[in-house]
Amino acid sequence: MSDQQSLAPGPDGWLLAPAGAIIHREARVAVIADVHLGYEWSRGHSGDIVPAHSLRETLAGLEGLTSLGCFHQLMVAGDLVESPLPCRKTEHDVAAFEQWLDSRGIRLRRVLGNHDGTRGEKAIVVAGWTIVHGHVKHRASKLITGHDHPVLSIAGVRSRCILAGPSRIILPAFTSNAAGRNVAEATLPKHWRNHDLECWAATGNRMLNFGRVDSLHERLAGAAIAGAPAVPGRSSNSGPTRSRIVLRRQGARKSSQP
Amino acid sequence: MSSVPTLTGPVRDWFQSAYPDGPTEAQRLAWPNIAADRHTLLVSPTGTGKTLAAFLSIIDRLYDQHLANKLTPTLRCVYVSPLRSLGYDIERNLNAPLDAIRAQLELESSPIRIGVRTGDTSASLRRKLRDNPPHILITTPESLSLLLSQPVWRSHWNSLTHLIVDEIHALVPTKRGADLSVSLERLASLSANDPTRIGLSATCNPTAPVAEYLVGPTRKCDVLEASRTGSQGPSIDVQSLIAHDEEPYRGLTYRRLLTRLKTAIGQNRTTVVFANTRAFTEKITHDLRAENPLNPESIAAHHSSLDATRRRTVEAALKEGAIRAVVTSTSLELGVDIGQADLSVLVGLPGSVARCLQRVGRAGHQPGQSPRGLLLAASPAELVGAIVTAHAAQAGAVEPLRPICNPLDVLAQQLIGMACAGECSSDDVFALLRKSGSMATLSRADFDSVLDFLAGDLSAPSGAHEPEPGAAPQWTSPRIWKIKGRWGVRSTRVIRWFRANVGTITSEESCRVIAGGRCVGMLESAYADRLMPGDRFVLDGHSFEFRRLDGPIVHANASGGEPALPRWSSDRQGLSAELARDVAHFRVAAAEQLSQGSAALTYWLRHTFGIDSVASNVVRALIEAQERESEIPTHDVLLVEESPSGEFGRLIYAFHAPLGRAAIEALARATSARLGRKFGRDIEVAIADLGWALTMPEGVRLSREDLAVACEPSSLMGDVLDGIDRGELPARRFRHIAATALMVLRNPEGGRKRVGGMHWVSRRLYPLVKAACPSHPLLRETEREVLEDCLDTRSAHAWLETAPEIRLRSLHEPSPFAVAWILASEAEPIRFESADSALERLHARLVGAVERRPA
Repeated sequence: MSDQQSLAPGPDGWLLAPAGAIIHREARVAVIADVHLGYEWSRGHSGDIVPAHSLRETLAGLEGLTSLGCFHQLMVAGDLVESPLPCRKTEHDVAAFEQWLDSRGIRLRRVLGNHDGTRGEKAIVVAGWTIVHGHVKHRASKLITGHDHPVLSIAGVRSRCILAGPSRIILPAFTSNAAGRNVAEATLPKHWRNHDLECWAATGNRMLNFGRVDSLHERLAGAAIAGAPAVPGRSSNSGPTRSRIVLRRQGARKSSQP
Repeated sequence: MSSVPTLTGPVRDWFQSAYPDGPTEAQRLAWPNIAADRHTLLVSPTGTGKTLAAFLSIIDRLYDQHLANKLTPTLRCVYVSPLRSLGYDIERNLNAPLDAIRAQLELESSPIRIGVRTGDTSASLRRKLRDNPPHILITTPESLSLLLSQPVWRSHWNSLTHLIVDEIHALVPTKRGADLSVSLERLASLSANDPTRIGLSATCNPTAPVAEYLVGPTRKCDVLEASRTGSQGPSIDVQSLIAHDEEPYRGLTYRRLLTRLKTAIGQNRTTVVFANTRAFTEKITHDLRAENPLNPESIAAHHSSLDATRRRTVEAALKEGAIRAVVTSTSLELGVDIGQADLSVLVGLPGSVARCLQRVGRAGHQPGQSPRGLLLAASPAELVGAIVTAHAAQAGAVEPLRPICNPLDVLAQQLIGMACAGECSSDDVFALLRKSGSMATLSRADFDSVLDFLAGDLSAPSGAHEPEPGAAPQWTSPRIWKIKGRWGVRSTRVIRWFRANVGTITSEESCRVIAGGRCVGMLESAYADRLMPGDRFVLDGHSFEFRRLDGPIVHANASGGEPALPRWSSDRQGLSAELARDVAHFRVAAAEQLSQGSAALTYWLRHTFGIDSVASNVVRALIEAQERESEIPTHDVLLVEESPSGEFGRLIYAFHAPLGRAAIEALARATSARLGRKFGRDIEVAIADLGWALTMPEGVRLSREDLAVACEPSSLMGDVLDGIDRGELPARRFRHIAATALMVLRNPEGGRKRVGGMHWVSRRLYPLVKAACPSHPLLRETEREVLEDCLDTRSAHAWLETAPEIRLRSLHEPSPFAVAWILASEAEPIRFESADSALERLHARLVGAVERRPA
């Protein structure tokens, strides 16, 4: 990841960072979501042999952000850890995470997520925006949430993305372990279709605006981007060989995404 | 004695009364050999009395001991078959003679006891078997591995004298077979005397590697080959479901298939229909029943996801002649005794001569009767495939078997199994492994690295990443402890994990289908991946409309209307390398005949292959169309056909080469790597039998010079490796390897599967392991599997060395041969572009020339 991250402008002075974070300069606050520290220990607990990686990857992801030096508080919008069950190794990772932030003069504040058990605040308000995890409904007029793990996955390319609108920001998972929900699909959750959300996908060092989320699928299909999901209503039960082969090839490309 | 060699007393008396014609050749050959305790590989066609050939001299000896009052209630013989149902079948077939002998001696109960232990065995029966082992234990490789891991069984193995492996050819080229070979060696090491090993097979050629697989490098094995007595080889008929002037239209072809099946079922007393996939099996069964409303129960389905008792009922009904037809995916392919079916119908290609013979052998499963088969082809390519398959099958040209050497994932699972049974010594275990057929050349370094992996001791390369002092360990969940050359399991949890995940069968994952808020069943992931919104599919007799795929969950709506047929004409695209070459030869030969007029071709097809005029017209039309649109690729030509793909003027290049899939895979990887490097963009590659296709990025057109460079034989291997690295094959393979090595558990405790499932293993764990430990044994196993099992670089290189003439043709649309053989395969992207630049390119296309740059 490059140190030279360019930030994109979001609503009300929020800046969108390619690392999958948002920053409010005046409030000197950065927000990330769904870090899922201890993912490997949780997997290990149920019997998988996995190399340790979450803490290292999390710190590497934050390195570029902290070097911008524009925030003193890091809010985690829920799911800092993978599992609320007591785990010495996860606790070690959380402590090391806090220590790492501390040594850079940054204070950690946790919002309660569905993986956090009881550790964390229900909601935090920053510059008129309420930060919650998003697993339960919240009535605030301006919300920042995590939980949904939006990704843009088309033509074999996969990128985390921030969904941002005038009254709602949905953060991607900071961890790479989450499977993610594809914003390029035809059917999207209701709260993604409302709130005039735009999709900002991250490359290594900048944000690309893919436009409104509610029309993204249609526009991708309209631009006939190879591997974009097909237009609904099309049946594969078609006749002659040639058209069937074309259909299958499209399907194949779709399935080749990670 | 002379008519029934080596058998004695009551067993001989029974045999003479039951089989007055005397023993078959297989039995005459096998009995003295087994009685003399010589390791034996018996190769003999289906229906030549192999079961009794293997068992009767063992039973004879047990009766001998019984009559001398020396028969102890201890385990003597372990019989392993790759199929559960085959085990139950053998039990039935042994109980009949045992019962007859018992009656003859007027005994209350048979002194010789048989027990079956499979995944279907109930807990109480398992306990009974454990506390009171039978003389003859019938089991599967997986159940055997489980029994070996249980300390309570340890003392039972001591009295073993015989090990029988049935359908050995089905195990040899698989990881299941490699696993079994280690289990056999463990049994041998735990028994007082080295047990006599008996391998049974209907088809295997050459026999030497199979014999060596059975006994390992330190023992000698006699190979006994018996021919079918009093009958000729199989008679196989090939028919086309389409005519020469029609495009394959699935609805119409399917109706014709049903009609043809009904005729076949009507003309024969019992018919077995092989439909290749479960979905298609269900569909055909359902529709045949619907068209036979008076007696729908006369047609049954048989596949491995059916309930075990239901399967057994079907088998028994078929044997008794109570049903007219059974439709099966592949589950009746191996030797389950289903009595005398009169005809085997193969819908679509069996893929290899060995499978073709197995399937056709299901009809005429009686000594003295010659098997009859009917191959039905639904497309021109399938028809050509069917013609060469039937021809090779009648000539008995079975493909050679290649055992898998030293698979490290199987080794890992076996080492855990050994540790479950008790503490182990590294030196002893290594010596044991080297005696087994599949691990004969295992290196000590590989062995040690697998132990290190299981102990969580694999070290990172220097500078990979430095864990800070006091940091948590680098690997989660080690399986074993290891001190000074000894090791054992860490905890009882490891034993539970082993028991819940034992086995090497890598079935593709399945997805749950949710409709209207409830789960309505499962679909195979590979099938679900290909569905698009609006597609309709059948499940459990109902029709559903696909909405979206969310990890392991398919969201669907119940829908009326006509559901899609499951894919079927190309369900089994893969041919063995031998058959692929036969197809290439056939196309050239057919074109030569055609050049002398269509009558010459028809005559040749009828007299050489026994093909009727409908089918020969289809072949003629295909050859003519290919000659009209392009040309017939001969052996000294690499034909490359360029055609537009219909997407942004991207061009597809179809490459035709007279090689099997593994050699094609090597050529496809190397050419895509070379061209991808040149243009710096992703290329999609579709790999098939007899050729491959590259879809080039927009605006790229290949010249003759490009092609000459891409198909250059020098430094082929390096470019093959590059093409593999940039594709998805290793990550996909790693997923199965990690599961077999029990690195990730397919069935975690509590039954709760993780979101993302095994996809996470390919997408995340594979690169994480690569970064953490590049020399990880499972990464090396992945490489071995890709290079040895998936690719045939040597054949590819040898063909390029013959300097085939490269012919480039530009066409308006793909040629008939390309459509028939190459383009039906799925495309895989080979990556040369960074994810960032690919995303930027997509973005630029979507928003047009004006990009909104961030402030």
